Amino acid sequence: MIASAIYTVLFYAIAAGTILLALAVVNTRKLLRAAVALMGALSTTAGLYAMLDAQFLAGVQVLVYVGGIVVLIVFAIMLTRSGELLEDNPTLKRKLVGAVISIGFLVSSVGAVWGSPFAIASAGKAPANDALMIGKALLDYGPGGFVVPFEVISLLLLAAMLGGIVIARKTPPTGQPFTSGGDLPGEAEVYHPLSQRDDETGGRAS
Amino acid sequence: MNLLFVISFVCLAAGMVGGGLVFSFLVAPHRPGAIKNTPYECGEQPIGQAWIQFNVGYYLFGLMFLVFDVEAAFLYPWAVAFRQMGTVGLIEAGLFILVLLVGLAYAWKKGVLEWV
Amino acid sequence: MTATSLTYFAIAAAQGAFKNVTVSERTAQAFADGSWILAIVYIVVALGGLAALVTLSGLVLIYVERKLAAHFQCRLGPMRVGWHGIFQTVADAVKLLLKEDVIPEKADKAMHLLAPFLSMMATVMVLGVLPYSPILQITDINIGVLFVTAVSGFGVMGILLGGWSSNNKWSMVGAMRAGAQIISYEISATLALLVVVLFSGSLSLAEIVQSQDAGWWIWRANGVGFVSFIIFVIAVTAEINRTPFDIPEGESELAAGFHTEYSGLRFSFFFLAEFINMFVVSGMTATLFLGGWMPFHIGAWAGFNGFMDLIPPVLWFTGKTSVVIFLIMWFRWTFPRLRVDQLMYLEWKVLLPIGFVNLFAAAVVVLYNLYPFPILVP
Repeated sequence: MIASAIYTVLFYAIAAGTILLALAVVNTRKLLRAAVALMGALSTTAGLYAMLDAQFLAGVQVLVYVGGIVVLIVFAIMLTRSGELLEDNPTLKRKLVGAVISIGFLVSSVGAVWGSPFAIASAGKAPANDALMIGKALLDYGPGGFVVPFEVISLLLLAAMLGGIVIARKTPPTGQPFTSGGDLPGEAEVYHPLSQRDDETGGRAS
Repeated sequence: MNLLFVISFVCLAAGMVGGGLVFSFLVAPHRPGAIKNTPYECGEQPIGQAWIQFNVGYYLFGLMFLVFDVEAAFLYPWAVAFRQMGTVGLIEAGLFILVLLVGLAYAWKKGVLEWV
Repeated sequence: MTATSLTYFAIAAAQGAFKNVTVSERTAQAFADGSWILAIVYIVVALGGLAALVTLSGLVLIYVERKLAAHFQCRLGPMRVGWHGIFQTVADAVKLLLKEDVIPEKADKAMHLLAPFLSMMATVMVLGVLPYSPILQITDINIGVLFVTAVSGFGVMGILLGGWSSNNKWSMVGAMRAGAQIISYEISATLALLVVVLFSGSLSLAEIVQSQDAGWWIWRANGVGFVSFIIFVIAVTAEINRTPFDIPEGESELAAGFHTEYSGLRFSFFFLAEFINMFVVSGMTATLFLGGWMPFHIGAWAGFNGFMDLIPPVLWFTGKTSVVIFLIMWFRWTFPRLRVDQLMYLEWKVLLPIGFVNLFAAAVVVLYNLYPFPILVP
């Protein structure tokens, strides 16, 4: 009785935390604060997974999202020049379009969740050693196995890596260590050390 | 129960940091000054903000890490289930890793792995 | 045949004696029995023990580091406070407590406060799942290894946030370097510990220790175990920003790196987290490769093994951890600091390919049961 009461309280606490942090993500003006709030929201989601006994999924959520994606987002923020978003008064049209899109997304996602039959509800409890079961399912090539998605995922990751490299390598200017711009606009273009000018040395001297 | 303990670890860390800072706030002096509160640059006058634009290299390494991190997330269940799957598991994971190594080789060739 | 069956019998008996009972299992049991007070007592004792461990190991490690550093350089180190200066770090802690907490004017104050908390959180969470002995583990998560790798992400964010929120150029550069370095070396560390997961077939730290009752993975996993041990030690040394990988806070280049703008107790939390992280990664190395709390056994030599069993498991764990800590401290006075490009070269062009090849070799070894030195194949 009391155990289930604790469970319920914990669930609502974590769910409320997730929602509040998600609101913080979209409401803060500082990009890095948004990233931190996003980290919090993703970790509390991992807490929800753990409450459903999907421990492996919770671990992967923290591993990939907190350790990988949020760090990548922070690096991406460092690529931008401004630490803060500019004050911005959207026009009525933009507000309307935004409202329509977000409400549409809400409706479609609620509909999708509502309409899909969840196997877990009929199958009962999640297996105790979920990493083992996931591993078996991933490597299983028979019916019900997921070996094709498993291999396709590697292709997807490859495509993501190649795409990222191709796009990021295009960004000018290359060859400047650590900061690619000065503090004033245009400063980066004014001064290049001789060793970094491609035209005179035929590439950087290292 | 595990989750409860993990949450209690977070609370413990928060309690230690929070309690320590509150205690320190009570006993430590607090005399801020305009010069004391400027960013420390070894005696130089700070010019501009520190929130500047960083090299794209960091982002690229972050991207590469993310790809290998996701890959590792798939290799964990593979490693756990490997004993029970046998040769099939070896071939499948070998293929999986090989595809990603192609990406690593591409990055190597393109000079992404060189630090500027 | 008799020798083998005798060993089996010994292992079965040992497993019975060393049956893992974590504090969380005891709590759950007390919970189920309806004895509330006992359950709460368990939780309080566990958290109190953890807090004591954090404080004590921090104080001891800082003292040991200073003493070792001194003796490596033919100095005496701290000698004044207490016998051979053993209360030096306590005095330092009191000093830091009494220092003014300076927050730079341009800093993002909330994030400036959050950063040391994140660092401490990552550390405490890992300390809570390490198996110190069969009966001394707070909670055994069945995704243990994955959990440890995952929560280290909070540590990275703590460092990045600490650097960014200070709004100082040194901090910024230090934090970015630290972030890039930690995430890069995390891949190698993951590949190395996947080898152990392959051999033990489990992610749970307690089960990984149990799987080494016939020999520690560093040599039982012939060759591949040793290679992954080396990779793991190098990678974790980089992950905790120790020399030769202390570029993020190289004091001759970046003042103090990401914690330049931290003072007083806030600084000490970063400092403490860094030192305890050394304990954490050494404990992980001991657990994964050196058998955790498992005593040292030689085959079926009952006399020797029985003698080794007399030493309590917690001492085995502490001893192995101390050896790895000593190794990491030794690195500091042996290797010069790497440059950033050398650092990235080492990870992406040396350790990563070796790690992948090693993982594949480990899979082959597991698959075909290639154990040329058969201590015992269960």
